[in-house]
Amino acid sequence: MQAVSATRLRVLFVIFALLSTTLAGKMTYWQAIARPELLSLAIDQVRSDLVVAAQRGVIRDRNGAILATTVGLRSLYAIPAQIPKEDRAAVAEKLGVLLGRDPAAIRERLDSGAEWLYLHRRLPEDTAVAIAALHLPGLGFQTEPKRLYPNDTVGAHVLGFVNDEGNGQYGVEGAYDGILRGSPGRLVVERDPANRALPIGLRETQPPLNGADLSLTIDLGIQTACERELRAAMEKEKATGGSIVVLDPRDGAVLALCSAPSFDPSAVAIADLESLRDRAVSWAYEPGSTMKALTVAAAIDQKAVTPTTSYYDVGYAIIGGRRLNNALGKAYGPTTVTQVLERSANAGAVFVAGKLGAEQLYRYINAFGLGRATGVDLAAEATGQVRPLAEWYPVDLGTAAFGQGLSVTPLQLAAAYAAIANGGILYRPYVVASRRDADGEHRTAPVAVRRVISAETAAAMRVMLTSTVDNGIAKNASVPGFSIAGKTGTAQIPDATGSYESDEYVSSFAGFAPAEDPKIVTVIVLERPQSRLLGTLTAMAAFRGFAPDALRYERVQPDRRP
Amino acid sequence: MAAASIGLVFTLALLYLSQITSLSAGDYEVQRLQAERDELRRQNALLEVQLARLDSPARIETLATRLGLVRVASVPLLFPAPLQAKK
Repeated sequence: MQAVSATRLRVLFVIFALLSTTLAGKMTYWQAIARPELLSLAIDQVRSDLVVAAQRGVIRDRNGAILATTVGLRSLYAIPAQIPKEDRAAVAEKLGVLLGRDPAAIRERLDSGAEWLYLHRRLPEDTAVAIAALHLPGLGFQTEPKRLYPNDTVGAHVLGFVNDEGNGQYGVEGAYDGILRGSPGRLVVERDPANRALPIGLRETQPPLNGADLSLTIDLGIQTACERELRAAMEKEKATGGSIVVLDPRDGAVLALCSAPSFDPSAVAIADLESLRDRAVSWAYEPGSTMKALTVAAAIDQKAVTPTTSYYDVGYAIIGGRRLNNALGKAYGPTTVTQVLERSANAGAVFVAGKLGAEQLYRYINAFGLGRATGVDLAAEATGQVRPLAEWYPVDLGTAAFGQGLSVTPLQLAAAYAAIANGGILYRPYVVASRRDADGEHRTAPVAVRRVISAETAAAMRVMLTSTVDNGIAKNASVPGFSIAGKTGTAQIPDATGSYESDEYVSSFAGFAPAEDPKIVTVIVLERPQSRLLGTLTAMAAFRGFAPDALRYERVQPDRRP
Repeated sequence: MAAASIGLVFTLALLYLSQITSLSAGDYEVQRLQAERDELRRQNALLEVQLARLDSPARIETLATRLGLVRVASVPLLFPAPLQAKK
């Protein structure tokens, strides 16, 4: 009996020892080896590790008006399990009225079985307040950032937009995305069941670095006036595209830049892709007769001609074995170089170019900045096209003289005319006047690229272009009270085969005011106007429409008695 | 002596708990005020956007047109030279 008891005791002891060893082993494992994992699981239940989004910078015009800003808007979410089934129809009905949506669709989403879902993202504040006042069960709000453009479509192409991922695209939003977006921060805290941060516990904070605010050179008043006139011109001419650029010739600051067709930067998802293209910056065309001013400026600068040099105009010029006609085949007889601009005589431009020579013309075309990007601080700038001199045929000297066989962007042409207006200096156009970040304000210094023509040549050109408006083909661009200088252009449109489309044109006007001391330079372009060769009249009417507003906003005193 | 020690420890513990409780309550109040500040900032930003919308030249022009107002055809100009001559 004693032997049995001793055996039992031994067996029990062994079992107990095994169990104790197993328990001790397990304890050691959880306490020593798996401790970090357990600790991590425990902490994860109370710890929140959040990315704190940086505030995207505000974009303002030169007078401080907000053009783009980011605001937190409330998004409506639902936790369907917290909405009693018998109440869901009523909840969907009430929300449908306030959200302007079909209640059946809302009900369907509430019955979808999801634990948590968004019912509407980024609500207008009024709607969010109205929904909150209903105190409906199972609904809540979460604030999400939204880029807002208070002037709707005004300045859309200058500004660009921010896509759903928060990336800036096109315009200033695209070109300055890295500066505007800032860097996100991080907040790690332990939270109580009410989702409040525990006062005594883990707290790691890395504050976000907000994006810089940008002040543009754009004047909202001038921009609005330009868009109004471009819209009217587009409607009148049923044009397929158009653009207006307004520069300050004294430093290259872009005062207005508009392009049509346009888009709403707040609703890019429904925009036509073609409307996103900035025709002032990302589109090139043959400049036609607006080019004659640059040809004449080059020839006067080289002293190849003077404003009074004359030739006998027979209605055409022969160059490289090709006959180049005046518009409508008109013959003007004795014609001075000033009258070449006043009458926009193609034969006269060929005469001037012949005196200048291909090498010099090519050199000045490049010096005026054609054929290469201006370097404007906007996304997706086109370069235009100027073929290398080595590829020129003899006839190209003549055609280039009146703007055929090369292409420019409206912005390039405006910068070139600005050089004539300001006394001969080519400035790099720029849109951002300053940025303000944590270190203070950083102003953009204007960049004078090079002297293109002498001050004397520029002065002579200003007189000649003023005469073109006062006495010549650009008479319709005159503005009461101001001296205006400018030149019209009607260019054919090259097709894919290398010839020109039949009876389709690009009409334009390039000019500046006041002619004697220019404060604004502008280029207006209309693509395929319905009135064909008369499209320049509409372009000049657009100039006449916005120039008085622009000059008033610029505080320019009239220099002529009406 | 022992009773006094126990009393002191008890008092210190109470004081500590009271401090911790007060600190927690203060921190929750700070969090509440920070949330209130953020909401006020958000409301302020919304008001700034609304102000910019109301100030928009395009909107004002549209309203003016709707009211039947027309753009002035010509602005009379007074030049300073004749005025000076009269003095």
